[in-house]
Amino acid sequence: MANAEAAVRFAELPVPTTHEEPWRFTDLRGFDPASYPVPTEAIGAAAASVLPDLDVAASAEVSEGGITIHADALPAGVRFEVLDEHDPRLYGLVGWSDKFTAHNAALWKHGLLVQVAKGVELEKPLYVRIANSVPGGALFWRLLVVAEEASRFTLIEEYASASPDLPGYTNAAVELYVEQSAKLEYVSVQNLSRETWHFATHHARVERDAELDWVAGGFGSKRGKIRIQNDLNGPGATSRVTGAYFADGDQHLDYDTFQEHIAPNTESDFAFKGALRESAKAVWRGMIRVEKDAQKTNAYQENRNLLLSDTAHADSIPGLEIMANDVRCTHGATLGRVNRDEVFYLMARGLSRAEAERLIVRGFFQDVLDRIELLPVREALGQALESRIPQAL
Amino acid sequence: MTQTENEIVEGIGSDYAIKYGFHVAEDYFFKSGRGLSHELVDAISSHKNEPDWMRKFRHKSLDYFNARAMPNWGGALSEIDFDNIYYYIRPTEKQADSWEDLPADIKDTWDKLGIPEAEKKYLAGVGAQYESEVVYHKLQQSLTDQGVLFLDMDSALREHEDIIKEHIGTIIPQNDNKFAALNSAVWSGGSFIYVPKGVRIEMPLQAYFRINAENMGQFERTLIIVDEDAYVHYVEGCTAPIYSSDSLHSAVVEIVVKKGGRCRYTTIQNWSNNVYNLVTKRAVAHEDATMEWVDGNLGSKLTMKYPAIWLVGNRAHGEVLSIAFAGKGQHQDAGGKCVHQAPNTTSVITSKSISKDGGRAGYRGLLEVAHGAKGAKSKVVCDALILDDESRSDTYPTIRIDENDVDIGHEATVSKIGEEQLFYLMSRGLSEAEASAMVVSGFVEPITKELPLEYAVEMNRLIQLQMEGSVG
Repeated sequence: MANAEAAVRFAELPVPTTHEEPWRFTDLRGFDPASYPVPTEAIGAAAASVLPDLDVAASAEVSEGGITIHADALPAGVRFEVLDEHDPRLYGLVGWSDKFTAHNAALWKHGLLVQVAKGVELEKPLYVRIANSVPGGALFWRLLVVAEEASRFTLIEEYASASPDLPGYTNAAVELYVEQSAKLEYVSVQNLSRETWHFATHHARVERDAELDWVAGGFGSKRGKIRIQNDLNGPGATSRVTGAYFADGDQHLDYDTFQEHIAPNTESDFAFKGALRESAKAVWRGMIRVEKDAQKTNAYQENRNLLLSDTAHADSIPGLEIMANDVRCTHGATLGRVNRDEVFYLMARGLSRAEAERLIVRGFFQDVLDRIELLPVREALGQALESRIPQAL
Repeated sequence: MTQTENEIVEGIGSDYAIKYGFHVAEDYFFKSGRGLSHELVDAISSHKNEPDWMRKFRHKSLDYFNARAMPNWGGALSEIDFDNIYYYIRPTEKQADSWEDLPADIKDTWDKLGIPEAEKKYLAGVGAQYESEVVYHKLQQSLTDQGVLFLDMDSALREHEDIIKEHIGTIIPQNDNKFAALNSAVWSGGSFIYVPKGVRIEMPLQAYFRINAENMGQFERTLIIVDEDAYVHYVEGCTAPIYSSDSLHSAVVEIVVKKGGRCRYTTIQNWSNNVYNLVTKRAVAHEDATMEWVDGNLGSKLTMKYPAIWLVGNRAHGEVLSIAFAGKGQHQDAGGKCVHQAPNTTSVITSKSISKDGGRAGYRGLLEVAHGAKGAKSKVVCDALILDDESRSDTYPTIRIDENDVDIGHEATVSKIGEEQLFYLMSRGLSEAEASAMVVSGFVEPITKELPLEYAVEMNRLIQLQMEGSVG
């Protein structure tokens, strides 16, 4: 039984410290995941969504109390249902090797299976919202997605909290199987309360000629780590991950991305942009690893940060580990501030300082937003980013 | 890659056995036993007749070394057998200032390496370290007359104890890392340089480090102080015989560049493929000062070395040019660090790494901007070439920024040179290539980076290597 084994693993492992390389810049002192009780009932209603009312094919809501599924009009071949703990694919990509995946594997109760059969295409997106609502409680969430051969669909996942200052701990494990020639668009927007510790591991495996298009939006949470791994496992596989984040106050965001090229002729393209205000911190780690057989790999990664205050802080740790010789791998990281000339120019045109900054932030994010194919999601994320600049500065 | 470029890379290290890989008989004044202990530390200190504070410094450092865990990153260090190493070998009783005064075998070695010849033509001063001691040392009289100090570190401790005591371990604390602690415990040899205010030494000073014995541990310690508006270019080279068992080289280099001063430190590291090369190098650059590391790593089994510059004064400027070449059985974990701690400081890190025949080469670096270092500018450009499917390249650049009024960029490209780039390269004339080389490294003054030294020929070629014509 996986859960028992994972529970032992969780108990054995200490909370990671900054002496461990992946946690060097994210200090978890004062946080003990084991101290959070796991409530079985939600309190009140969840906060508003940053996404507009989407016209969806099916939706689900997840809280401490359980999972509610609205999937009345789904076509044949689409499974959108409670995840069975005996599903053969479960733990295939996210097991329980580290403290937080072990905690999830040991304690998750509410999970969702999204499986789209061979050749089935969905026009409307599928949507799931995960919201914590119990002060001081933990919420574990597990998602398993299977895009069978030549299927095409979109899945939107949104994390929210019942109130903006709710203290809590959320732990997510997401496994995405993108099988031959399938195309999956996966949007994961994290807008948890600024007092929620959030740990998530998202791992996708992309097979021959399949395509994964992933959007990660990060606005909320107190501290934690979001891991994103893409395995390019079959020739012709491609993945694109677009990240946009905004943090302020004393928020600390940590993205840890891994582009794993296993098969030849694969492509990956990761672009993350973030803006930081006040004393916010962002850590971004990105590793491109090209295995020996993955010739003709084309891999790209970039992280660009915009610091909007004197006390914001950003760490970028891009990395390349290349074992094949016929490849093209490029990465870039830059960091800059709001250009004073630009602000001055805009203010001279009659804009307020806040308006000017908002415009500049919008411009900074524009190219990553342009990568988002779903128009409503693109607009909603753009607005969510802009809305973080206060009306008056 | 063009045919000429291919030839450049092909040729590297091919004649190592003949040119550098030889060894001569050991006929030494003193050779310690194998292994590391407080008794050994005492023996070294006694042998050198050191002041008590240095003896204590060594003992304390050994405690730090023993207490620290081995680094679990970088390269494979677990095979280093610290008990099998000779930590101190004194080849001759006295240091010579004439090559003729050296024992025949040792003199022959230097002749084969071309050091006396180079001294005549290009160098303002030469130190030659053989095993643990600097056996030959000389500085041009005109520089001595201007107050320049250039001597081996042991002599410096005897003759200028106050300066050494004031500075040693201040740039690189003895407990900075495990191998800095080891060096601090058993150091011997290395260079001490002091360049007085306003003195510009036009020709380079050079130190050459030679290991001859099997299972040798060489632990030189270098301290360079460049006073206000002064300039020095220090060059170090190193080679060793090829043995089937391992040797260890672990140096500590501390540099202070005062207001308006400039120091260039060039390394041509060409240890044989049985030498672990684990070195800590750090410079502090004060107001308007410039520090440049030109760090060429061609040899060794494993190198872990990241020359660092702490930019502590306004407008200080730092440059790191890291050239790493890894052939069969080699792992070059090279790189550089620039830490901006003052306003309007600037830095450029350029890395070129090449791996072939199963070698592993890479860049590991840190770019840090402290809060308050307003107007800091930095650029990090890494290019890597992997020449076959047995080899590996790694890039690990860390960027930490605590200040928003900065301009920071990092780029890295790893590729096989394709048709397109080949065409691009061929369509470019030499003059433009020269110009772009200047842009890549961004050196503030067009001093040539090439050295007219026989043992620098291969590194000069690598510096020239265009690597897909990248101009950052």
